[in-house]
Amino acid sequence: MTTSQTNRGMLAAVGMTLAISFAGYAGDAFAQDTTITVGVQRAPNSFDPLLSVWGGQYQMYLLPVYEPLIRQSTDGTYLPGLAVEWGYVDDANLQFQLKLREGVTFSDGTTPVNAAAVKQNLDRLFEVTGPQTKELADSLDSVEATDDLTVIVKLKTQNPDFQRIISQLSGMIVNPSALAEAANLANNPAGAGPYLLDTANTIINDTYVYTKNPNYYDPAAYSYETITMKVYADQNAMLTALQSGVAQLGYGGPDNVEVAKRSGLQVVQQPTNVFHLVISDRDGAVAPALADERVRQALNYAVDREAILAAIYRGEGTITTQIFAPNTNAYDPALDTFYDYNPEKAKQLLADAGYADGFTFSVANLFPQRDGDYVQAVAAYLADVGVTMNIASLAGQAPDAALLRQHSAFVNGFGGQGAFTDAKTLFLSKGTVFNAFSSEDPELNQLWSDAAAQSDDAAQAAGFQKLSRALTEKAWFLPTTVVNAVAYYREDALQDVKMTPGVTVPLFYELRNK
Amino acid sequence: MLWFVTKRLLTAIPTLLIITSLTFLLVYFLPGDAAQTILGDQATPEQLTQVRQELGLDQPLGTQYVAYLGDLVRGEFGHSLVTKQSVLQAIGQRSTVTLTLAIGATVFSALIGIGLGMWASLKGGTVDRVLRTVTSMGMAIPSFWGGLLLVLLFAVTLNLLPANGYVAFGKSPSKWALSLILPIIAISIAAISTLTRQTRASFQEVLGKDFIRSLRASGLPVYVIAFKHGLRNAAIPVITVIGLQFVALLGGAVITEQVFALPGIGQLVVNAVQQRDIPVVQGVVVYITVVVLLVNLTLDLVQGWLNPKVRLS
Repeated sequence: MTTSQTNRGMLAAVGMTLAISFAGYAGDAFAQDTTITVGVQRAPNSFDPLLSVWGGQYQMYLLPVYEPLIRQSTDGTYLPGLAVEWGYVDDANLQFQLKLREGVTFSDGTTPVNAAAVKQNLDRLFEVTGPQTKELADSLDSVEATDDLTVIVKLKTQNPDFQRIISQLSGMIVNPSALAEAANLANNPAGAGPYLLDTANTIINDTYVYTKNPNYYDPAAYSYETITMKVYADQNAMLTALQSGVAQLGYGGPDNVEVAKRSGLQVVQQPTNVFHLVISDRDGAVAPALADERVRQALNYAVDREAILAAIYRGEGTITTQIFAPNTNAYDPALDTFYDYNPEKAKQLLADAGYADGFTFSVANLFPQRDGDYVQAVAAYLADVGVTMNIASLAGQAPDAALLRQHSAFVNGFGGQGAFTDAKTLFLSKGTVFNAFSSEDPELNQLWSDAAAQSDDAAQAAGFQKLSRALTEKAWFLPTTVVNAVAYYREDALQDVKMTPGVTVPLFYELRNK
Repeated sequence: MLWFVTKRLLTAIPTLLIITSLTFLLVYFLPGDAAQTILGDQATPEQLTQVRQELGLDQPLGTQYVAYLGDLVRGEFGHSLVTKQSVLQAIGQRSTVTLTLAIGATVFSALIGIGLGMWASLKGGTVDRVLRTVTSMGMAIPSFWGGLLLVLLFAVTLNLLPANGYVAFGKSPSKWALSLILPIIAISIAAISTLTRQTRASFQEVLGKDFIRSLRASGLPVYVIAFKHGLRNAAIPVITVIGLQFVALLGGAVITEQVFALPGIGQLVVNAVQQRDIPVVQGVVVYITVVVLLVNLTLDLVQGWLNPKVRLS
């Protein structure tokens, strides 16, 4: 054999290998029978439910491994999870009973999911401090296991968000045997969910691989043998992954909706995140002008919300002037247009407050990549009425109350969970990121307590809407837009994917819709 | 030789100390901390204080630094403050990807760059002019931009290669190879251009030397002169550039890993800085410093082997 023949032979072999590899890739990309890859923007901070966060997209990581007591459904109601019956058993809504499903075990296949396990989990709320434990811990009195499958949760004060809370992190029941070494839960979940975390193939902060839990009580519910959650910090990388078939479901902002639709991806969206400025310096500690209600109202009148929605968010959402999101019972459609775009009125209010020549304040922008254009647009409108808003870009910095006290406001996007909890988070709790200057208003506190104490749903909603109106009038915030949460998916992998109210992503349960 | 290697390794100790100290101070003085990352934006001041105590973040700077140095001397890199994963395990998982990328790109760019450089030098004329123009453009293309174009063409339009992501070799060798093709090409574009120009310049210099003229006169074939005599003499500056390119590719991988969503060291350290996760940042800095020092040491040894004058000095 001559040298040139040998070379040609080698070239042919290399070519064939590459061709087989390419063919293998192309085949795999479109034959997702047993596995699905879900693109997520952020990694989970812990697999211990009480140390994790519900919101953003974190919940996607925990729901495969932890079955909650009850499940949120896409129509806003609740469905059975580990509990098959639930509800208040007293008139004051202070005692909540849960009847557990029979014959369920944790993923180890031996430890039963019973009332004692549920009590042990809920009792952890008295000891463990996590990002969202206050939601229930503040109102929790005691937990009682009245028989093997019945639990009574007693509350000190009414908690109108109780059902939602036990459908999320606080309702995710951990195997009691794993609670003895709770620190291990950070990366080794131990629940009763339909999947197990495959720790050998998981790369923390990047790729999380799940395999089916052979001991799940409803093995036929999910058809995918493996689920991979892949973190895409870059939205464009996620989009190309979906377009090329590397991923089948992904979450993102409204920027890529048109491109995704053009490339044949399915798009599902719902108005979820209220974008706004938190005017945290409402007592005027840094910028004295902001202590005057008329000044804060003037800022609200100065902004053209329709133009911002069209230009910054490509029309994917709605305008608003209230801080509560549409899925909460504090939401009042009339408050979406409480402040119209009226620069003349804004100037008049500023003049009435003694700031005819305007004033200067600074706003912190923690996510310049996401909110840079938005805050620039708001600043331009404020400049038109003589107010100078200096923007401090704090990219990559964790939100910190001390850091935010150096500025009078900050840019925020907030997806509402429930009026009761959101009010505590956004303005009632003191010294937090959202209320860095510890502002307090007795009227708002009273309205919140009155609403929470109502046991009738309609009366409670009316109470929270009254709170929302008072807050809007006081102009503690400058809300502009309810931006759509968006998810993209491939039709060859999933069907009829739906959003759940108040959640920024389709929940894990939608993976049943293969 | 042994004394040379020992001396180089000993000088690495103060280098490591300075670099880790600077990194520790930089991360320490950034606003915000890991407690805030762990508890999220709804944390109350009391919750933050409690978690800071648990993590030792309420200790003075000196105490924290001495504790860190003590751990380092004992070879304990600790655990991530946020994910609780062992720092060594995190680096181990991710260094495979970054090193594969950096080594793959170095080998790929060296093969192509040296080949093109020799071709330009031997052929001259149009080939030389075209290659000089193309390599000028190649040096100007940012790797992330080149990467995006490659993804658009080969993954989204032609659907021949995966757009991003990484498959472990043990899981599927063919998918592993395919997942690396686009990233390696993307970060190699600039390196190929630099190496082509460096090889061309070194080779032209060597080809003009008297001993090459003598070899030509003796009737040796061109490829024997080029590979056996020319390449070895032209290799010293080229090897230096390859070493520098490797270090640059290691740094460049940080951006490429974002574009191609690869779970490498770059992604690990970017997350850790954002989360103020000091043990992870420090672990990665020590790791990268050691890799760079080892690469430099290897370069010195290779140069000594190629050129006895270097060894003697």
